[in-house]
Amino acid sequence: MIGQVGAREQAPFDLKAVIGGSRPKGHESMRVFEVGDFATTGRLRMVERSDPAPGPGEVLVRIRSTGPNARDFHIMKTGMMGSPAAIAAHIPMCDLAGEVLELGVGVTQVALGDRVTMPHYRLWLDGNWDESMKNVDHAQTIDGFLRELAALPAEALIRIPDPISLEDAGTLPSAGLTAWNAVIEAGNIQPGETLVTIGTGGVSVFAAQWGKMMGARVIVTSSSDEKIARMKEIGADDGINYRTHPDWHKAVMELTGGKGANLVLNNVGMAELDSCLESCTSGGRIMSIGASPVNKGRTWINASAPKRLGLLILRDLTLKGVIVGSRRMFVNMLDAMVEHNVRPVIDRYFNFDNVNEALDYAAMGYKLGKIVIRV
Amino acid sequence: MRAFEVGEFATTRQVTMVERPDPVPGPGEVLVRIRATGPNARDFQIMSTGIWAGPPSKHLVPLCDMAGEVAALGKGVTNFAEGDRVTMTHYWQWLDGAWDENMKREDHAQTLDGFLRELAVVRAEALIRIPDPISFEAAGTLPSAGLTAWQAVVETGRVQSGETLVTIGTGGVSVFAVQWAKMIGARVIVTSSSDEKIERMKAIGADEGINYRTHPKWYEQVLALTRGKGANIVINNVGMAELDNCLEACASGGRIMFVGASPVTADRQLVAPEAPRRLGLLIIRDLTIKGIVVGSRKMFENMLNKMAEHAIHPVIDRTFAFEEANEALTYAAKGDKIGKVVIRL
Repeated sequence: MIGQVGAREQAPFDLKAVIGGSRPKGHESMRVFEVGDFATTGRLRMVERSDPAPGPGEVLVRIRSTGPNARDFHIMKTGMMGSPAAIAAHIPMCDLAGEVLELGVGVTQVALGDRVTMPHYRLWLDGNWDESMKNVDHAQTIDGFLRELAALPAEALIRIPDPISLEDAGTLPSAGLTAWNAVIEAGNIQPGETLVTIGTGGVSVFAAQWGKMMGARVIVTSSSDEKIARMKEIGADDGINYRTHPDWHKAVMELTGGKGANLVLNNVGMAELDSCLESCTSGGRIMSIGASPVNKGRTWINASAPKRLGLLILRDLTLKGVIVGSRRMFVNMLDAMVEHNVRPVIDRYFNFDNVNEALDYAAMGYKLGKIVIRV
Repeated sequence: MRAFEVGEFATTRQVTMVERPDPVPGPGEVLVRIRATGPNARDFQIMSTGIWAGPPSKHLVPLCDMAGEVAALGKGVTNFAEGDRVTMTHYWQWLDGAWDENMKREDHAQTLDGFLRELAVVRAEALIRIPDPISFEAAGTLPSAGLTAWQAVVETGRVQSGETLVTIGTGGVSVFAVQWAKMIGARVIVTSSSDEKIERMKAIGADEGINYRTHPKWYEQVLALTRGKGANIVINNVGMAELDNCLEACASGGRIMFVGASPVTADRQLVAPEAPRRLGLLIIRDLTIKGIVVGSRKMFENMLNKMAEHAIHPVIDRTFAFEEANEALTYAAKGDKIGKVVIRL
């Protein structure tokens, strides 16, 4: 086992050698991580599984990059929509970028060696979301991508444009696409508008980038002046420390001359809903990305009723749910990244063998930007 | 002229008739002889407790609906003539384009006098001509309930033919919402505490009715009536207490139009505000909650044009004379009505 794994680890990153021929002889099993008893131990377990084989219309992808999202921790700890018991045998992590290693019968959309990624709600290709699409969700209802190989439907895959590395692309499917939908597709941000993000998690960092790409003014909030300074390096125009300004909406009002924000990304849920409403200008939009009753420090609190929903009416506001994004939106995002030369902010890289260290590091909350796990 | 003032309405449930000097139009203003007005839920709220501007002055003239005829023109007014039949929105500054919260400061029947009076001076740019086929009585029902429903269903709600629309209760906004939705070809499900009112809503055009007294989880009925799919648009005119039910009733991509924000249940009982539990459905079903603040002058014109085109008449429950204003308010407050109560002058 060690020898086999070692050989694969030393494969060049573009895997031309592997792709040019067949898969290394004798490789019939792959290494994967399973959720196991992560909820109690905070540790994933590495196991061996048989190599998957692509069926008709499927593609075998050699995964090269993945990484944790807040959502992944949530699933690993609580099971989210599924039961914790069912989750234990699942492979976690919904982000991926990889290379096409084998084609199943009838696949025409991609070719051997193509660098690919995809959204984790893979049934949402284009057009409108339908709730039934949630039933096929990588890392939740089906296995995620903390593994070496995955057989995936070709129609869901997206070719990664040349200028974007596999590591960069692997940060996009959850946080990047969610922020893209919230800021660009559903949020419809316009040049000169003001965007507010809550906290400095993955979605907020991408949102600051998409907001600046569109010429918006970006105000970030954080509990840490140091993180605010780092967000400004990424492009944020202003920062509000919500620890020293618990009524942070007042600071938004001050910074906008009493006008308020046009777009607020609420990725922490109901506890901040009143402040989001208060910080909006007339016609403002609040994008609801997280629905748990957690406050901005992501501490669970008792849910109390929002008191300021009347502002929806008096200010003509919109409260919109954002469910990641479609394959089509993902393609739009990749195209814009190439056009505007935007690169994801990556805090730190880990190797596949150091997954648990990567999770520990991510959970500490010191990071700013994504954590990449090279597979 | 004769006018009614809010007076001691909060305790006596009676408005007070007074005499006031006839108003005189200044530059850019128009004197309107009021011919029809009538009460809305909003008017009762303002007179009883006040809404966002706080308790009203005892000298405020109530009622935000109006239709009338031009009686005199102020200096510089050229686009109207004496005798023109006109109406207007109560947030009169919202002419076209996007709403701005500052416009709330000029609000007839809240921050400015309303229209339960014989004469009113208003800004010429706010006035809208009433198309010939629409009577004063009909036009006088539209500025609040009619326009709010119009915006919620048509302008912002953008209901499509074949979509399913749900209204909560049978108040003024709900009745108009049924009419606008049927005009466009949507399927309409109404909810009510009374089987008799459901039958009357069906007579107006509703396709289905759900009694929320016998079905407190009325969204289950909505799902059953739509083969598990849910509604595309829900008009929530009762506020937060029903928010969870509205969320549950929605199909993927559904829109909830937030017309009322008070913590009242479907039968308008005040309840202690509880945290909504189902806001996660916003995400998993890709839903939108949109606030609706009546509508602009432009939307009002669009509505009047469509009413004339489709020969739609507001549902009027009962008409009272100006002198019977208190009887009209008592009757409207009882809640037995379906459609509007008109006070004719």
